[in-house]
Amino acid sequence: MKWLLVMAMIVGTASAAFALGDADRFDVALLQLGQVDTDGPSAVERLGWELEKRTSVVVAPHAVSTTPSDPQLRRHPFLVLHGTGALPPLPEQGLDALRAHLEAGGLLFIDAADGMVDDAFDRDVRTLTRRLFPRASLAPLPAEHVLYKTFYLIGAPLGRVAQDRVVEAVILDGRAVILYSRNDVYGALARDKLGAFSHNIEPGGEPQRELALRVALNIVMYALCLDYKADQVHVPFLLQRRRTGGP
Amino acid sequence: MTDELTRIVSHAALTRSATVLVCLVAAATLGLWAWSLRRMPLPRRVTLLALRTVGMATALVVVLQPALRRERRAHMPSRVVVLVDESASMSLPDQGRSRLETALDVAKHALEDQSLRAPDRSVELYALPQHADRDGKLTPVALPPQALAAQTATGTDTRLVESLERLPRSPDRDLAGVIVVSDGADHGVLGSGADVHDRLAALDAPIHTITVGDPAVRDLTIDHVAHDDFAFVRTPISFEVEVRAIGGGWQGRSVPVVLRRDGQVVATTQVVLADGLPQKVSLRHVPERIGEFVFDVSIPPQPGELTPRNNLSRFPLRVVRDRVRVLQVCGRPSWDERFLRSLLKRDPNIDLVSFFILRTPNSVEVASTDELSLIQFPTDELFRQSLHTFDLVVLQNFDFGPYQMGIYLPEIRRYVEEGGALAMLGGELSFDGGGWANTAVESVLPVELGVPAPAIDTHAVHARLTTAGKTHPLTALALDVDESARLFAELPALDGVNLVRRARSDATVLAVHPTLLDADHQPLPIIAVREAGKGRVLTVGSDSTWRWAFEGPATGTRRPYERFWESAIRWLVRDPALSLLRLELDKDSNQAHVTAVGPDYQPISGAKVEFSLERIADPEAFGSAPVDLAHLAPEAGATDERGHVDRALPPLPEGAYRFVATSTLGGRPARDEKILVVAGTERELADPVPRPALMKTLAVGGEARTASQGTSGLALRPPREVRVAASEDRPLWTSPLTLFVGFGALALAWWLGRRWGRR
Repeated sequence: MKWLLVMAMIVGTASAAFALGDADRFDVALLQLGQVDTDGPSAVERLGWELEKRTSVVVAPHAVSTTPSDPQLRRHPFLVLHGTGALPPLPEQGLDALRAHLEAGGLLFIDAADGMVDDAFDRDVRTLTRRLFPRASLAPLPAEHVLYKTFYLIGAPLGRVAQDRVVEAVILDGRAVILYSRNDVYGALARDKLGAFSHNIEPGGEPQRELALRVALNIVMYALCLDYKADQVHVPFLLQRRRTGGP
Repeated sequence: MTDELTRIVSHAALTRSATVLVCLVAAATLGLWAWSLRRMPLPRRVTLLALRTVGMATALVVVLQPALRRERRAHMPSRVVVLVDESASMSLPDQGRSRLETALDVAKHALEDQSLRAPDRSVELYALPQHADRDGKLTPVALPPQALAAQTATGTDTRLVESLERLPRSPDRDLAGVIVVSDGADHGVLGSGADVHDRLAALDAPIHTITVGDPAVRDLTIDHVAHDDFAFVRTPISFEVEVRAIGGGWQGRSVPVVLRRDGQVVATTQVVLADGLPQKVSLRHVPERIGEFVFDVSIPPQPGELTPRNNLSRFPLRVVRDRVRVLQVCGRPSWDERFLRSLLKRDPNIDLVSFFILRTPNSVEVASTDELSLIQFPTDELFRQSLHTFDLVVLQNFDFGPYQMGIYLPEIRRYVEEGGALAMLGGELSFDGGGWANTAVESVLPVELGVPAPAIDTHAVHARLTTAGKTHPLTALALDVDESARLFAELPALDGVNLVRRARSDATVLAVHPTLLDADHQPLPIIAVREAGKGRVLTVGSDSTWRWAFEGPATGTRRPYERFWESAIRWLVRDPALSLLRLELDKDSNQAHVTAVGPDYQPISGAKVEFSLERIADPEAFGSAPVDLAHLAPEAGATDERGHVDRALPPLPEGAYRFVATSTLGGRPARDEKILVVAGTERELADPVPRPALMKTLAVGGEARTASQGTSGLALRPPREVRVAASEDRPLWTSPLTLFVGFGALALAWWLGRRWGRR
């Protein structure tokens, strides 16, 4: 019951879970580039609910959608590109806006939902990242990267499927500006109108769904805290927990 | 004094060579004559040769035209200079009295020494200067005989050769000789072992030396303390101390070596002594505060020492930041926290320690501890044990209640009042939302709390700069005031603001809400600063300054956000460049310069600046002569239109002082201070052993004696002779008798030669 000890470290009255207005809450903006995305909104709502329950992050209740040409793009630092199918070529103006957003501090999480049945999405994502950052490229994040320990200690960043055991990223000045998973992380969180999960989890079943949720949550924590968990003060604790075994 | 001299001179217009040639011809002629008479009987031969010699001499007189010259001559007056060493080393004991007393006795006897005096020769006394002048020159000063009894040995710079070269010359008197009376403890070119013969020979007078002091002394001395020019706060600094035992009886003894900072002992060690050999020990100290401090290293006085005064070495040392150490505590992850962290982490001059609350007490978790990366919030370590190690504490949208932190709030207030910096940034967990009202921390904030819940306004707003905000370095986004206001107005809107009751009377409000009012019906403060005790505090009543970075100007630059926070940190940690009152000590011009600016950082005129002096006492065992510092401190003055006040530095006795300037600027007390270490006798006493060998080297053209041998009989340069009247010539050849004698002798020689058979 070690988790009870962790809970015991934070006692007292609950803080009000509101921010200085709705605009001040953490929101997830679904980036629309012409892909097919039916699961995004419900997955974001589920993620928000879990964030509010499990962490101290104050979350906007609903997902918002945006495009690179949206004047409100800069209101949403955290973008998610989730879906399947080919991506229409992004105009240069949109490309510049998206690049400026990411360089200014934004983060784009790309989540392939096709389970690699069709590689059009994967192909166009790689084209998009090359156009955005010609001098950087998508590369697998090593197992010791802080993304895998921003909140949960994660061994394998699985989603609805277990296509890859790593997350790829484009790194600028030591910060990941694009994260890319081919495991359909958000697909594992999606629910239908009746509240049931939309998809079965392959191959790990419900335990893997929990892992997918943790991956999604860690990505949010990375967006908000960056390499906080790589600070020296955390290192001995995390090494010890790694030795005793995490998921 | 004059005398007469008579000598023969030639009036003939012959060169010296021609004169010699004429004489040689005459001598050769006489030789031929003598040879031609060799067969003649001796009496006749002598008679003829004598007559011819007289004739030849007469001819020479006619050719060379000799004259008898009578001249009146005078001797140039001269002087003997007795140069007395009055440096601090001369104050050391020597057989029951001080070396200086012995030296002054020598000088007194020299005044009465008849072997030095002569009718045109005087004896003058000079003393080595107390210290070099502004040009670094060491000009000896005249020592009136009647002042001998009042002399003290306090000089700080013994450089005998350099002083001899600056010995005042007299147009009326030649230098007949110099007598240097000293212990030979030289710190100039002589002591360095360089060849000084040519430099001293240029004096053109014999230099005699008289060594005072017994070389058989016993003493401990701190030869040298090696340390860096400045220290970094919280970084160990080493002081390498060289201790020398002079004389015998020290071998194997252990004595303590003490390091103090501003009079407080900060490190101690032991040194094991070796007779005659320097021993090195190291003292280590970790300065915990920035600033300028006086450090001293000392050895307690030991029985039988020649003097304890060289057991102490004091020096100023500036402790600076290597990096600004910032503690960032956040109540929850947010973009505001994330952008500030990014900025702080990017700055190589900042050492950032972050603690973010990732879960609330209401958070639900099914994972075990081993599956989480969470660690306990180390409140006691942060807010009790290590708080003083931070230059700046940032409480960002943080409520202290859930973490049992109430007991630490007085610690935070004390941290600020003692010089720490605090920034409270907004959010629903901050200010009244965090329960900070009526706490120890609230008492140091620039704003008063106590607004009913929820104490926030969620409407987006463009903060408006106040008059002070347009020029304050925190919010001045450009040098030009109007440009600064324009840039600030163009910043993206804040998502909402925290409500506060009012700004404190001694706070400076930099930005306000354009429409909302506080309890006094004044524009609601959004950005405000305050000096609380020795510390500084900033409040930002919003948690969305991150939008200045992310949404920023259309160009995409983040400069306004970066400039704001970088300026805020510099101001909070008292970057000297942002001080309202700045004091500079210019030791070259012996001036204290003060510059005062108001809270808006514009020069302030008419501000009264007061000065005070504080003495930083030496260790008790060494004592300190009482000084009336209140009397010595420069008088107060008002700043001119440039905000300047200048004052001359007062003459201070040896020691360490804190020179303080204070004023009230913009209704708040302002203060700056500098350390002033008045050089003393450390160098003079570092090697207190008399050095007869150096005195012997100094004795160029003269003798090296001891005090007991006195000055009697010392060789002096003879007086130079100078003509004071025209000469009188009496020609010898113009006398008729001379010509008669000459021609008569030749005629008689010719007649006798004929008679004695010479044809």
